[in-house]
Amino acid sequence: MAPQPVLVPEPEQPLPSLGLDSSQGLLQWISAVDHKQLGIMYLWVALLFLLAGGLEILLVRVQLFVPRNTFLSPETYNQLFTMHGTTRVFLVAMPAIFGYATYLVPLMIGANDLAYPRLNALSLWLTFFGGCLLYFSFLAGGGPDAGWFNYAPLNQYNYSSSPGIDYYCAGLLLSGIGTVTAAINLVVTILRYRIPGMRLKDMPVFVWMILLTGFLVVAAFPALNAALAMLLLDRQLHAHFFNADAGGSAVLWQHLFWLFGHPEVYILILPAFGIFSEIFAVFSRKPVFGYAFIVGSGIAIALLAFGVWVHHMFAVGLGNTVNGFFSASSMLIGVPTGIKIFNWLATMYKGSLRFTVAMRFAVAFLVEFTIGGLSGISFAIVPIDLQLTDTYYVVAHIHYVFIGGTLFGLFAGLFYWFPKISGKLLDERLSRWFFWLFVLGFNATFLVQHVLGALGMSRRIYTYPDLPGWAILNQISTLGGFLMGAATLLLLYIIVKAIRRGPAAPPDPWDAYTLEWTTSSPPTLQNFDRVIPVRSARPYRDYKRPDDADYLKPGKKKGVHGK
Amino acid sequence: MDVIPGRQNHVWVTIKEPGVYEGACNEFCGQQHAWMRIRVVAQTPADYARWLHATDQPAALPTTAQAQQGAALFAHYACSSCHQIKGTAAHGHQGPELTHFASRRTMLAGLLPNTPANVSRWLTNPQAVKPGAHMPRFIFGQDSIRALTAYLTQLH
Repeated sequence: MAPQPVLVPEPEQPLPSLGLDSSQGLLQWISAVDHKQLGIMYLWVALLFLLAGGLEILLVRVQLFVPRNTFLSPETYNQLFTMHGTTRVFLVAMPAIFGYATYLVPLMIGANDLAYPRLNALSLWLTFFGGCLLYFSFLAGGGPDAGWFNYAPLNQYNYSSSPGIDYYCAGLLLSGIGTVTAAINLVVTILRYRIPGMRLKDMPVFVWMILLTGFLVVAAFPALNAALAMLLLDRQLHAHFFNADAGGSAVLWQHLFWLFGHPEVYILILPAFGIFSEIFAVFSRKPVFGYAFIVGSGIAIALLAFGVWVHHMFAVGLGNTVNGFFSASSMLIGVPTGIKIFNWLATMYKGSLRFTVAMRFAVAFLVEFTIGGLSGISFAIVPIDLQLTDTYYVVAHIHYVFIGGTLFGLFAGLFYWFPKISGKLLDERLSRWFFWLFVLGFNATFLVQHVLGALGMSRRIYTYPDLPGWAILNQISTLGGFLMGAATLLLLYIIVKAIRRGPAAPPDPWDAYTLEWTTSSPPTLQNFDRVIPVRSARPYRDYKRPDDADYLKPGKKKGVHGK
Repeated sequence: MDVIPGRQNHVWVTIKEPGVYEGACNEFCGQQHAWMRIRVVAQTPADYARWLHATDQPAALPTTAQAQQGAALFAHYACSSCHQIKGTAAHGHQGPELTHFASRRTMLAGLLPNTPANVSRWLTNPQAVKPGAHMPRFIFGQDSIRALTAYLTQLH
């Protein structure tokens, strides 16, 4: 079967360079339908909101620096932490993940573009304008102030009458629709537009993880979108979905939110798993250990993701039977995740390791994510959860998995693919500085929060009494936060410096395995002149070393012979 | 455990030593989530029986002239539409019950120690002490505030 030609509207001029100062002007970006341009714009959007969300949380950390601080009013404080959480999930992690997926999936499967280029542009702009609408709430009378989880009854009009939560509903609905369309686009592209010869089991792990993420988005986001529409009806038209006085149910919001919210956790982490799988393999000079197990455990995680949401709701009091079931399923999901950790360790075992900055982030991920995973398991045990729920222990846990997992994945992907995307090399020495500053700041900020949580400090409080030990631990946490902020500014400098005057990148700087490295850096509009034959999961290596190609030894253990 | 409108929930705590135990609201509940602290006082059965008996009694009658003036002001202003003081006409249920207000160690859900100075501050401008609180700001004169403080702080 010949690959279906994809109709890409041809601009008269070549692709603009990464900087916004390109001679073709802004119009070529705004009117873009090319997956590479849209991918880059997704990444810029994520970076923009990364800075916004970081600024918000630094203000929060200043407020918590000393007990009974009056730096921020409780109103402002609640808006800031709500916007921080909402921004991080919907406007940083999601756009960044879709940025990588949009940019890389066609290149990795030998396609010219995504299946629906114009839909791709629609997805990006819905996401971006949804985010803008959310932030517009600050000018319209106050941001949302009921937390990113936005529980009923606090989200109802009589408890939060500022328009913030209406903007929350409208903004997230817009960006949520954009997310669903982007996921459909990716799933169709992966299933229909692979280069002939690339079977499902020859796909890069990253593409597999994006495929699973796509299915998760399509299944989980409708629950959120429906809940948001219901809440908007409650607030604007006095419906009573979540109003217990009028026969509604406040718990319904929690069910709908976490039915979306827990799969969302895996939507955020599976792509990072994909990125790390590519990086561990390339920088260990080995194929990824147990390809089938990595993919299979990914599928298991995606299926189990829909059966664990009540572990966010143990304190609701749904009964011991319900809590027991969801406790067991939550512990079960640790198994496929643990399998992956061992797969990556085995990939590194006896490998010829190269500690580039991308690989450093991957190794740091193994440590930090395992800490986050262990604290996660402690929540699956109902009595411990009842003690620790809604304390800083939870804050520590989610940041160890979100930052140590997702964000480290996004950073690792940045250092790995930046030469391909921009055609420029990043300053390796400064990048190492960034790595150490960020990892140090991250641990300083969040390690102590485990202790604060165990001491009983509740989440989302704008200040706290001067209890023994609380002030010093919060001060360490705040200083760590500022270290991460400084590191982020350094990252910005590294990126701008590389775009402005970085050395040109060769097409294949890492001696990598997958198709995106076979084309020029940055790729041409059509991506490829021609695509090399694909007969295993490492087509480019097969091409470079035809005498030792993976497809020549299908029965042998690749982990031993594939060096 | 969560407290959710329209649902029953239960929690059981076994305390082995008498003493004062600190707690706090954990589920984000709005502007003053930070100052919704909880204090459990665990007592021996005999002490507890004494406390229970004392709590059942109506409020102490004001003895000093200033406290009596405060009691009159309490009835005169709208205080009684939100607050309850057993043994008086005040039967409101919106705000905290004040029958034995002076026997509490802290006020405003753990925000401040229960002292006459803090009670006066609170009566002067509630929003400055605890922003978002439902207590309205009455424009009391200094004399009224002193009288009300004298009345409230003798409600043992």
